[in-house]
Amino acid sequence: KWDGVPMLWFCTLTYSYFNVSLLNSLPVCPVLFTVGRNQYEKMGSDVTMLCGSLDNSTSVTWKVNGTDVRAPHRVEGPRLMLPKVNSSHNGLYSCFQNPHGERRDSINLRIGLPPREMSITCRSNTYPKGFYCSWQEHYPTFIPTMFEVDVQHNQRSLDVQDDPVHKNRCHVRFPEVFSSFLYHVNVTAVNALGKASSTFSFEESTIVKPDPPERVVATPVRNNPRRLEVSWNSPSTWPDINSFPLKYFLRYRPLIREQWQHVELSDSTTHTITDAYAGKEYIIQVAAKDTEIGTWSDWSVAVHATTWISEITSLLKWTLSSQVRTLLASQ
Amino acid sequence: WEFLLSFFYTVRYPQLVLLLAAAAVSALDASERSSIESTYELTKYLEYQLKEIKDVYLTYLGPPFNEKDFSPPRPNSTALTLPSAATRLELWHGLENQARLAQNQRAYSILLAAVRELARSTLCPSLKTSLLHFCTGLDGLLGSISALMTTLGYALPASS
Repeated sequence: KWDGVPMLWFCTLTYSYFNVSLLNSLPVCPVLFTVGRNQYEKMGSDVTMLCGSLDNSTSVTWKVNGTDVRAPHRVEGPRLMLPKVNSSHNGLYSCFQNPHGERRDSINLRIGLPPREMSITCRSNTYPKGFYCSWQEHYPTFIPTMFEVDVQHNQRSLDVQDDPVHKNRCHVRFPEVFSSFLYHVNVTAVNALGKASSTFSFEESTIVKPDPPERVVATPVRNNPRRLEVSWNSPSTWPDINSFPLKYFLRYRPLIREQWQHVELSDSTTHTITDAYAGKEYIIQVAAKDTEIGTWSDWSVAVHATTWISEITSLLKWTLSSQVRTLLASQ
Repeated sequence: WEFLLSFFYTVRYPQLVLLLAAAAVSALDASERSSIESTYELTKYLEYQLKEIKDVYLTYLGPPFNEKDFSPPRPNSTALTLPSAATRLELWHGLENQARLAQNQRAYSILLAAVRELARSTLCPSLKTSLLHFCTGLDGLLGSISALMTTLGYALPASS
């Protein structure tokens, strides 16, 4: 795995035919990537770049990204010195041996910082299968940083899987359930300039937080203007709804109002609101929680529904409002 | 305390809930189902009681026990022979109802003995009373579970 600026080199393969069968097993000419090697330096420090392995008497010329080095600098033999670097010094530095100008080296200078403490949080939305931990760096490092995660439980190290998408996340399966032993998570950030570790400990039941309920549907009830029928599904990520039932929390309000009304529900996935205002548009959300442990999920996606209103009432309302508008327009 | 509580919750909740679910599916009659439900409700009430007593007890112990973020040193896995509710999920799933109830019975018996000992060594009279009251409830729960097992035709575990 190459770490640096790729430069393409093409290889040419010359071979002699021994027999026809060679044609069938033609070796593929690999395209080689070679690197301007990386040099990582700490922000604010004084940097020295050395051109290849040339001796001290050699005279070289330096260029950065193909142009002259404009930042304050000093050249001593094959060395380029840059004092008190910052991110403006980032670039591909090339050195050319005088007097003929052969390129001797390419250095990709990256200015950054060593890692510092992070905050770690863990959550189980797939209880009792497993949990995931995420961490956040408080201070950017500006250079590639990798993370090593170690999770201990009952004096044993657990198997940790990287998240395929998020670099700052990892997944762990619960080795057992209903355990009173703490889980200890240690995250070490490592880059070319240093390393830093942070830890987080928790008990199994405290990190349980389901994903929000899905497919929330709210429909008005014909001939019943004060009702709205709401139904939803348990989150699809919750693996065992039968053994670990969820309870729900529903909140609703008319669009024009600020105040929510709340209903706490047991494991039923339907509810009928009976005190809605006729002909009003409502906004409805549902949250879920394991019946025994952990915390409430985030609110589901909000759904809108308008209570039923009879055609006559609707027509009257429309007629009235258009008359008012005509009146106002004529004034 | 957290051990006692977690023990309580972890034994009670999944076992009885599953039994309730099973009762709903199988052909248990109404009185059996209501018996299961009331036993379940009793465990919930006892858990609530225990949480209340815990707060009083920790205040009684004083610092550092009554501090918000205090976490007692956890027993070494081999140092103490305390029973643990911890189990592998597939093992727990595979339990038969009889085994589930027998496990519940055994667990609550151990809890009862532990709380009785706690009550015995408590000097504060009001706390002692609360703990003993809790023990009465717990004893009632053990009776409920026994009755349930008998109704369902399960042999009662030998009392230790």
